[in-house]
This record gives sequence, C-alpha cells and structure tokens, in this order.
Amino acid sequence: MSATIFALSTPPGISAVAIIRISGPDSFKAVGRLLGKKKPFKPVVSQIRKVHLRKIFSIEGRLLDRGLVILFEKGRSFTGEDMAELQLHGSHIVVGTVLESLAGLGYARLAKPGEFTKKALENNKITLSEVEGLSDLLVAETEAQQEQALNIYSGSLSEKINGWKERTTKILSVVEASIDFSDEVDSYRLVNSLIHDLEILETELIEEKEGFKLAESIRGGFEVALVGKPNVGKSTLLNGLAKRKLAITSEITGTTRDIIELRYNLDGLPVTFLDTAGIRHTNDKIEKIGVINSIDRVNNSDVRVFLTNDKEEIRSFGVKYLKSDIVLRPKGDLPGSEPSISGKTGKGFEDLLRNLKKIFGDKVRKASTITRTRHLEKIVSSLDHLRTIRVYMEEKNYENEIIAEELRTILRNFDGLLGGVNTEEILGEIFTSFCIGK
Amino acid sequence: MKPFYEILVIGGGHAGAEAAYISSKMGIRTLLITNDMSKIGEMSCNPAIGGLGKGHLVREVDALGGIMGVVADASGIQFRLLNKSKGPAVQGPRTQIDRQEYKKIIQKRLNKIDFLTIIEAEVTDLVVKNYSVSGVVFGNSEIVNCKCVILTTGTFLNGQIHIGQKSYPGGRSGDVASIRLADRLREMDLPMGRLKTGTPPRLDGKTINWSILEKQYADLKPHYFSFLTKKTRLKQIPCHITYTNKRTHEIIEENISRSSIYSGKILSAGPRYCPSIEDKVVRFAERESHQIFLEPEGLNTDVIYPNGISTSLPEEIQEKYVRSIKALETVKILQAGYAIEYDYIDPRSLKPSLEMKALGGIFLAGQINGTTGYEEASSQGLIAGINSVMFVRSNEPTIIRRDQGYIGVLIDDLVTRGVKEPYRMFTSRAEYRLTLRADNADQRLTQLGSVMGTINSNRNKAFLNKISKIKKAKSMLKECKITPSNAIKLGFTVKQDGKIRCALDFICDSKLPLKKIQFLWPELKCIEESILLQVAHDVRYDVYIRRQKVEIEATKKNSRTKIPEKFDYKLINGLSNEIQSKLELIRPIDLLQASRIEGMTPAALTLVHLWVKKYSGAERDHGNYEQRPYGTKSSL
Repeated sequence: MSATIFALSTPPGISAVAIIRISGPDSFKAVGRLLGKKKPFKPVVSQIRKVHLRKIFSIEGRLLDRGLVILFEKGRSFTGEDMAELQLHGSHIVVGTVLESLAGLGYARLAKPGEFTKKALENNKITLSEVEGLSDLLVAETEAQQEQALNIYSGSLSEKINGWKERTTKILSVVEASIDFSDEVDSYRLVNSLIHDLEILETELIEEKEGFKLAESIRGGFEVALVGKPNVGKSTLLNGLAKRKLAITSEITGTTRDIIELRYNLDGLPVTFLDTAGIRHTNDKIEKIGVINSIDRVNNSDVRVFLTNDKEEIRSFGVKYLKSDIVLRPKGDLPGSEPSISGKTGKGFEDLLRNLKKIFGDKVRKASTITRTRHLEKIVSSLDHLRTIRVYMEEKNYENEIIAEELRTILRNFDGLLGGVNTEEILGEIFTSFCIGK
Repeated sequence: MKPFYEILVIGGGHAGAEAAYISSKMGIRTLLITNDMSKIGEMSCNPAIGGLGKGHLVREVDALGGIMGVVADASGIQFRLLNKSKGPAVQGPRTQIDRQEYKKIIQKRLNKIDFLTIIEAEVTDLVVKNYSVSGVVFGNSEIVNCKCVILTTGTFLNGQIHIGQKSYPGGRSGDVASIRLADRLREMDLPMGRLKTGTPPRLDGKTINWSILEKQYADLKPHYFSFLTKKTRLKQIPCHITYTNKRTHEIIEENISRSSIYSGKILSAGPRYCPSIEDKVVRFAERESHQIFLEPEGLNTDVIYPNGISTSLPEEIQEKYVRSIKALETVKILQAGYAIEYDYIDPRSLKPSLEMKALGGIFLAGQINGTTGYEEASSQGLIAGINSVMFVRSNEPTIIRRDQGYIGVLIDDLVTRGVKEPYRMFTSRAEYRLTLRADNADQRLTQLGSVMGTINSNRNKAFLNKISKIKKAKSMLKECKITPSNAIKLGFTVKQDGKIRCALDFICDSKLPLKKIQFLWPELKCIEESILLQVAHDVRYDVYIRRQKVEIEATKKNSRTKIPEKFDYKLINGLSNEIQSKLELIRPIDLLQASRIEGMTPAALTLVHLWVKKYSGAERDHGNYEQRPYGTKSSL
C-alpha cells in the first residue's frame, strides 16, 4: 500500500492563503480527524470535489484555524490517489501546527521532495507535454532545497545532527559487531556498555524536542531591540515607525515598565521592535530586576539596533553585540557621520527596514516550516524507538538483532535530515574499533 | 560431428562448479573447461563453509537447487550453528570441511550429469563478433563455438604472490596464471581494480601439542545446509583454540619491515574483516593476545589451518613467531603463508544478471568480480549459470531482489555500488535481515526455483509438504486458547486484561521452551519440533516483518519502472554531472537500482522517472478510474 503524504504546497512565509495538500489512501481519514471526527471519515459522493468552509482542530481538539477543505477522489486527482486540500490562513503558526497535527496522526508523513509528482507519474496522471515543464520545476525545487538544506543545516544544527548520527552509528556498530563477529567479541559486555551512550542520545534528543517547542512559540515573529543611552531618541524612532502606514498593528503595549513593544508587519514578516528604556545602573532592587530582564530580552532579540555616535560605547551597555547587529548614529536630521537615522524626519527608515528585511528573509528561508516539521517528526520518531530499546533492555528480554533494527530506523531518521549513511559506514566503524578476523 | 556446447564455463572453482552444475541440470549442454580437473571444487583457503551471512547464502543456493549445500553437508566434520544465543535471523550454519571429501564428492556429482562435459584445456582467447561472444580459442588454436561464456577464473588476472621480500606471478599457490587470456581481457579496456588477500601458514598436526589446548566441539544437534540432508555422514571432530602472546607480537614488530604489506611492496586494499597478523599487531597494539582457531583440513590428514594468523612475513619469521605460540613450540610449517594481489573487474560493468554490459553473452562470477569466499562465489556461479540458460533460451534474466535473499543483496551491492575491498557477506549488509533467515530460505526461494526448473519434483514436494505443515501448525496454535488468569496460574507473564490469548501468542517467548507449550496443550505434540520452531520464529519478528513489508512494497513500485538499456542520460536537463556519470556507468535496470546508487537524491530520481516515461512514450490515463464505495451519510 502506498504511503499517505502531506506538504505545504504554497511558499513558506506570511501570505493570505496557505495550501496544504494530502495524498494517499488515508487522506480522507486524516482530514476527517482534523475536522474533529474521531471515527473513520468516509465522505459521501456529494461532498467530493466541493468547497467546504470548516473549523480545523489539532489532535487534542484545539481550534487551529478556519479554512476551506476540498476532497478529490482516487482517479480524479493530481496524484491519482485520494487527495485533500486545506486552504488555511497563511501564518507560520497555523501552517506549522496543522502540519504537526498531520504528522502526529502516525499514518501520514511529510512528503519527500518531488513525491507528489512521483505519485502522479506512477498513476499515469501526467502527460508527456507536462514532463518537460515539471522537470524544470523540479530542478528549481531541488536547487531551492539544496540551498535550504545547506542553510538550515549549516553551523550548529548540522553539527548537532551529525553528532547524533555519529553516536548512533557507533552504538549500532557495537551491536552489529556483536552479531556478525560474535565469536570474536564479547557481545554481552559490549551491548551492556551501550546503555550509557543510549541515555546520552536520548537526553540530547529530548532537549532538542523541547527546545524546538520553545523556538516555535517565539517564532511567531522576530524581535529587534533598540539599544542606546536614555534620551538618545529611541522613543522618537519607535513613534516614527508606529506612524508609518506599513505598521498594521500600531498598538503600543507596555509589557513591563521597562520595555515598550511595537508590532510591525515587514512585508509579511512579523517583527516586534523593543524600546528597552531600562538598561542603566541602578541601586533600586526592583528596578535591578527590571534591568536584568531587559538585558535578557535584548540578548535574546534577533537583531540589536545600537543608537550611538561611538562604537566603543556599545560595550558599556553590557549586552550581546553581534556582527549582524546594526549601529546607527541617532538624530540623523543633524549633520554627522553615516549611517544615521532620525525619528523626527524619517531619514534612514527605508535603509533600516530594507536591512532588516534581508536579515529576516534569510532566516525564514533557513527555517522554513517544512524543514522544521520534518526535523521534529524525525526527532519524535527517534525518541520512540529509543524508548522501545530501553524497555527491551530493562526487561532484559531482547535480542541484539531487534535492538539493531530499532537503531537502524533511528539512523535512517538522521539520514533523512542530512542524507547518506550506508552499511559501509557501520562496517567501517566496526573494523576501526574492533580487532576482527580469524 | 563435434557436439555443440551452448554454455562454456571457464574455471572449476566454486563459482564455476556451481554455474556448470545448474546450467547442465537445467538441460543445457555445458562444457566446463579447467586447467586441472583434480582441482575442481578445491577449497584453497580455510577448510570451512558457512557462517554468519555466508551460511544464509549456502542455504539460499540450496533452496534454488544448487550443489554447494549438499556437498558441504556430505563432507562436514564439525557442524556448528553460530550465534545460538541470539535470535534466529542472525544464526548461521557453519561446518568444518574435509577438503578431500568435498572435492571428491563434487567432482563425482558433476561427472554424473548428462548435459555436462568437463575437459582440461587452457583458454587463450574469446571469439567476439558484434560485441557478443560466439566461442573461445584454446591453447592449441582450436576454436570451440558457444552461445555464452561464464568466466569464473578467480584471482588469475595479474596474480602476484608475496612472501616477505620475495614475489612472483601466480594464481593460487602452485597454479600457473592464464596469462594469455588475462592479457586479452585487459585489452578489452574493462574497468579494473586491484585487491589483496592472504593466507596463514599450514601446520603439521603431528607436531602440535594438542593435549594442552581448549577444544571447540561440534553441535550435538547439527544444522545442515541442505533442506534435503537428514543425517551426518562423516565423523565429527573438534577444533582447538590457542592464542598469540607478547613474545609473538614482539617477533612480528621486530620484523615488521620485512612483511610485504609493511615494506610497501603491496599497495592494494585487503579485507578489513580479515587482517593479517601484522595488521592486528600494529593496529591494535594494546591487545596482548589474539585468538587462533586450529582447524583440521580433513579426517585423514594432519594438515592444520591456523585461522587468524594470515601473513606475508618471510618464511623464517613465520616459523619463529608461530613457534612462540602455546602448543606450537615445535610445530612444522608445511606451506608458508603468503599474500596475493590480483586484478578484478569492476562489477559495476555487469548487469544484475551478471552478464557484461559491454559484451553480450559473457557472464562473470566469483573472485573476478571482487568478492571473497566460497559461498559468495557459489552464489554468483548459481545466478550466472541460471541467467546464461535464460540467455540461451532468450528468456528474461532471473534477478533475486534484496528482500528475497542474501544472494540479491550480494549481487545488487556488487553491480550497483562496486567494491573497495574483497567483498564478503555479513548479516549487517541486509536491510531486511529479520525477513531473510537461514531457516526460511526455502520459503523465500524454492518456488522461484520450481518455476525456473532448477529444482526437481522431489524437493518441490518436500517443500510443499513443509508449507502445509506450517500452515496447519499455525491454525492449531490459534485454536489453543487461554484466559489471562489461567495463563498466569500456569506461569506465563501476561497482562490481566481479560483478553483471551492463544498458544501462538506465547510461542515466540524466547524464555519458554516449546516443550512446555506442548505439555500444556498435548494436541500440539503431533507437530514436529522444526515446524514449531519455524512458526515461533515467524511470530517473534512479526511486528518488524510487517513494518519491513511496507518498505518492501514501496520499493517494488520503483522496480516496476524499467529503464531502457540504451537510455541517454544526457537528455535529462538538471541532473548533476556526478549523478549523470554514475548513471551512465552503472546503467541501472530500473528505478529501484537507480535509487541505490551512491549520492542519488529523491529529486534526481524523479527526474529520471519523468524522462524514462517520456522516452517510453507512456500514455496518459484519461480518468478511467474505478468507482469506490463511499458512505451514504456523513457530514463534512
């Protein structure tokens, strides 16, 4: 039986509408579940190929969105299988949570690149003339994905995944050695020595999973902290931004008495500007707590805009300063060095916004919802398999080949994120670590 | 009139013997050409057959009607099932072999087959017309015509033997390399590589102090290779175990520069799973001792094969270090150990049928493809033999899938990924390991053999009989029901959930002897133990086997999309150069094989799929869809 797959079919980011497609034998069942139906959902003929406005729920029954639902039956769909389309509001949170819910069903998984096309091909749903066009599209898709894969998995994240992969390969190689070279290595002792390694892997994955949830909630938008001495013109700048018509949310909320927030729509990207009035030396205990909170908030911001005439002064603020942060001369309406900004005249606004758009645009691309959902999906699945292994080991009723089977699945998960392990790597690990050969 | 042979097999090692056996058994006139008839079926390295992964291969060869399993059973002198303490999927049958008996039996059997003729001759050339073989030339210039040729010439290509600083050309020790044929093959500009392997010195058993050594005995209940073998033929004898020590390692270290490997005389890759004793001492310097199995080469010989100390040190050093080992203090070396370097033909130049892509009608099997081991050779010989028959009959070749058998894993690995060191089978190479057990090889393959005509009716009858017994046993076990509370009373560990369980639910519990189940339900006593055991194995892996079945189904889809042999990969815009050139080299037969090429991406695979569709001019399915039943009332 073929798999039921789903994917976001519109570009990631904020848009009026986002479309999620689901294809495969369990498509209707999956949609039914998201429409709040606990029993298997079998649509009647009159409901097929019609547009329905419905509430969409998470598996736990939380309302996620209201959207349009269209069902296509087997034989009369793009892929040739039962298919469903969900047209949702195009927000990160809505799309992310709906994708997560679909993944959480257990019988549907995120589509691999080109998989919808592949299904259409398998079911003879593509004409010859379409082949060429699709092929161009696929190339584009591949390039975008490669770029994406490189982006998201460059740096610390890919290091992390590689670390898990290495750890898993090592554990698996011990288990495989205990099977294939059992009369040359002491397999009982070996496999027992793994418990510690397995625990480390599990802890790391749990941390990642929880960190992921946290990131998810912050990822509602980006934060830009305005940093500078009191009266340097931060509030004027904030007010200047608030007055521009681009700011669709102009409400100004004081969350603490030290931080003022301005929510701003930067070409579809939700950005919050923070006026951190509170960074100053103080002896007042309560105020001190406020200052510490402010510093944390500034450090956790995605970008800091320093308003200062003197770069040397930045260090004295006691906050994080990264290369990607922006330094501007305040009161740009007065003559002086560039770049500068003026809340009064609006000078430098365009440059600042363009700058921020570029920085955040990159980040959005790097962390597209799809990639992140895939990431979480693999981690959750790996944790399930690790737990199975632990249960087996605790019950002391296991066979090495079963443990190996579970580990192989975990390794395939990491491969799915990074690409490419094969038996050779495991054998290589065995031959480097054990003296084998009689 | 001279008889016409449709198939010529060149080489009488394990690949050649198996190929000639199966093709003649299938009723095709076959000529086996060897340099030395007395060496057909020679076990030129260690005197054992089977093991982990390897035992699986032999069982599969047997299930398909091959000869190795039967002969190994008849010449086995120490049957042992490896990994007895582990699950059934990773248990492998193995036996020590009486080398003389093995040769004798296989030669006798081959001589009895009507369609097979065996001659001693040297083949010096191949007759090739229009990129396809039509005969071979003998040393006396005589030409023998044929429809296809199976080359199983082992390490004869550019073979070079090394002992210490000495080296000389040669195949196996004592053989003359067929230099002219080798030269001819090299002229054909086939992709080649160079590999290394080694053997230990052979010892005189009369000079070993046996009484002080620990022994390893044969199993009381032997596990055979062939599904037909019912009893042990030869006397069972033990192996002995000894160890290297500090002094041994010192001698080796002091003389390391005189080893062919460490003096830089040998540069090619040797097998990492079978390192020489020099390698072990250097790479695992922290180990003070390595295990050595002293394996007898037969019942009526004193030759001992010391497994674990292959070497290319000079003869006098070999004697020195061997004599530093416990019980070998006064041992006599009968034949020095040596390393051998040889060329192999990159198996990626072969189709999955083992036929060469460049030249029609030539099949390659065994060490010439970069593998090592009798079992790997025999498996390829079997497939090359079957497919040369298919070739003669203009039938589609037989390809064993990776989910059907270790033979499928072996050949797919070879033709899709190539080799970097002598290729040996391990269970870890099989992604569907839990499905591919040694005990169910017949269930996986015998039917295929029956369709191809490689197994006789007796065997088929025995097989069908076994299948019906298993079916019956399963249904009987399902009938034996028990409540949780009763089960607990009887000492089973189950949840008190009120669910009625049956004997089938308990049978896979590894801690539970089958006897207990038969004691509880006496009606099960009529089931043979081997049948009960196999049912138990099936149930034990059930969850995983079902999971793997889903994966296997998914891969089958890819195998249905065939890629035309002459497909032009340059047509596909958007493929990376690297993938394009790999596709051109390997020329996968279907999308499944393409998907296993190193570095293949899903998007690239879809591109190939698209263009293959276009190339083969598939028509669009115009909405002629099956109407499926929908519920009548439902609300969206």
